[in-house]
Amino acid sequence: MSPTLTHESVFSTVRDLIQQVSVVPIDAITESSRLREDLALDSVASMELLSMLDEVLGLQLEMEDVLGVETVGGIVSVALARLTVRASA
Amino acid sequence: MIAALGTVTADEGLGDFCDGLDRFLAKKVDAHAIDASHSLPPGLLSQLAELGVFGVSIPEAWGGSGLGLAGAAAVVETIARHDRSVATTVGLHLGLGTRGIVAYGTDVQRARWLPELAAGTRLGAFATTEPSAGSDLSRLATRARLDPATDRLRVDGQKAFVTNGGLAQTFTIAAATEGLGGAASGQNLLILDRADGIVVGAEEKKLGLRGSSTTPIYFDGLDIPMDRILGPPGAGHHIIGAVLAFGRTAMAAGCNGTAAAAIKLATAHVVGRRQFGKSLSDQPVVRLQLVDMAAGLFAMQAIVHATCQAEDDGDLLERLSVVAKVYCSDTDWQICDMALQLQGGSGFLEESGAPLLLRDARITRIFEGANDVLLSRLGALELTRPADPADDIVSIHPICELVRETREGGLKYFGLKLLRDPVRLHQLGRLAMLRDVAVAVVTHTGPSPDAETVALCKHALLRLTQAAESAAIAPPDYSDRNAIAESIFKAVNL
Repeated sequence: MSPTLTHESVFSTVRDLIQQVSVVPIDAITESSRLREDLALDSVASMELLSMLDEVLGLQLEMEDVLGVETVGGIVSVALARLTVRASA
Repeated sequence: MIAALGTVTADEGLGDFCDGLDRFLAKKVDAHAIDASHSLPPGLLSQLAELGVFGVSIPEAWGGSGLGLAGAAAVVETIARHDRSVATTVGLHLGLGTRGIVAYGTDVQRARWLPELAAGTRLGAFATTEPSAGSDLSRLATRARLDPATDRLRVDGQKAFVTNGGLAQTFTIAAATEGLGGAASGQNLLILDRADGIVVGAEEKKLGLRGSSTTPIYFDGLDIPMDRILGPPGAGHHIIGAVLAFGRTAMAAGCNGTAAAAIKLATAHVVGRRQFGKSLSDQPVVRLQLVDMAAGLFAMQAIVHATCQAEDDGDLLERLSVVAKVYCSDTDWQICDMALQLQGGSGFLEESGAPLLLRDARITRIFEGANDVLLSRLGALELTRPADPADDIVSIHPICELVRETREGGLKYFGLKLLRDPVRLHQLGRLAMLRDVAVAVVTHTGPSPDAETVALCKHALLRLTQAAESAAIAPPDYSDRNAIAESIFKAVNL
């Protein structure tokens, strides 16, 4: 994993991206925030968010990697797992 | 409420009601007069109210007929066969104008508003679009803020293009409600009365639907109680989407009525008109065009029927309402255009009736979600929630395969990046739409159809498959598209 991409920095990136697709104030976004219920992101908007993260961090995610992700923390976990795999490859 | 035209309790009763409504409209509605006067005939809405039209989609417990989306669609299609302005006025009320209260109101809210809305003594309107927001409901500028001192809401903002704006007494509006209910999503539908202090702007001058009312409305510090919120405070985003899905379907049904009117007009002309020694209706190309129109209408009615069946399944209704709205509005436009074409030069004259149908149809590809926006949305839905039908419908295998190849090929080559490519999403959305309509056509045809229905089904599937083959051709390369667009901007100094 890149030394600059810590758990905190990935969370911060996710939070910044959420600002582009949701009207929720940034301070209200936590790792336990649920995409649908708390952030009003439906399945398409959630996937758009993951797609944006994919581009920003160069994750090269597949659709099956992200199906079932329901929280902000879940997104952070998916991204960190992908970064770990790439770092060890 | 519907006793004046016979009791309505089931589909068969609804058919009888619509037959009676059809006879009433044939006597009372003059579409050209409505278009010319930019208004509905005096007393028409009251007479429709007496017939029970305004309560069709409202539950019986609140004074309506309880026929839901299917009832609304049948009534709107029937009215649109006579005049689209009247259909739009009634359809907006039956769909967007009352659906929020019917589906998401508390019993107190329903008891307060629905009986008068069902009786037609009040007309409903719905307002989401804002001058600066267009189709983007996530950036609402209209705000409802809680005044902690009074525990009441202060509403400020404005809405544009509000159908029934100048006629309605009850408005369902979308507003940002940050902070309410402790939820961060911050959007809700609110019920407003005209008497709350809504300021209604001037009637818009439009290309079509000139007899329907379209105005801006303004809220300047409206002071309303908290019980005007529909659904959980601060968490109404999904309610807005669900109400829009219901309303879109009613609007699609109106397209079917207009298309039916266009086919009737064109058929009357080609049967009566003789050229080169024989009736136009004997010309093979003319016959093919009439068959295309009839099969198009068959497919439109099939997808609206399928969508009405999905009334109680939120996700399916969202998807099919988009399919119905885009397919019916696009096909209605094509049918109205063909109806004008078949009348030759006389079709270009207002007195032929074809221009009015075409003008009235045009807006349906724009309002309640612009078709291009909705197709991209449908493409994204197809990626995230693929809707491949069961393999047992052999006649639609070619379309299904095109959708699958486009979706899976796109994911293979572009991965999640595909979700950020509106052009490819648009393409996938169009393919998914054609597939869903094809499924609806097969279902609508039923297990033991008569010969005419078999022929319509076969022709509709042929045209849908051809359209899918055309849609499946890969879009031009991104850099080529951009280069051409840049040269156009340069040429017009933008």
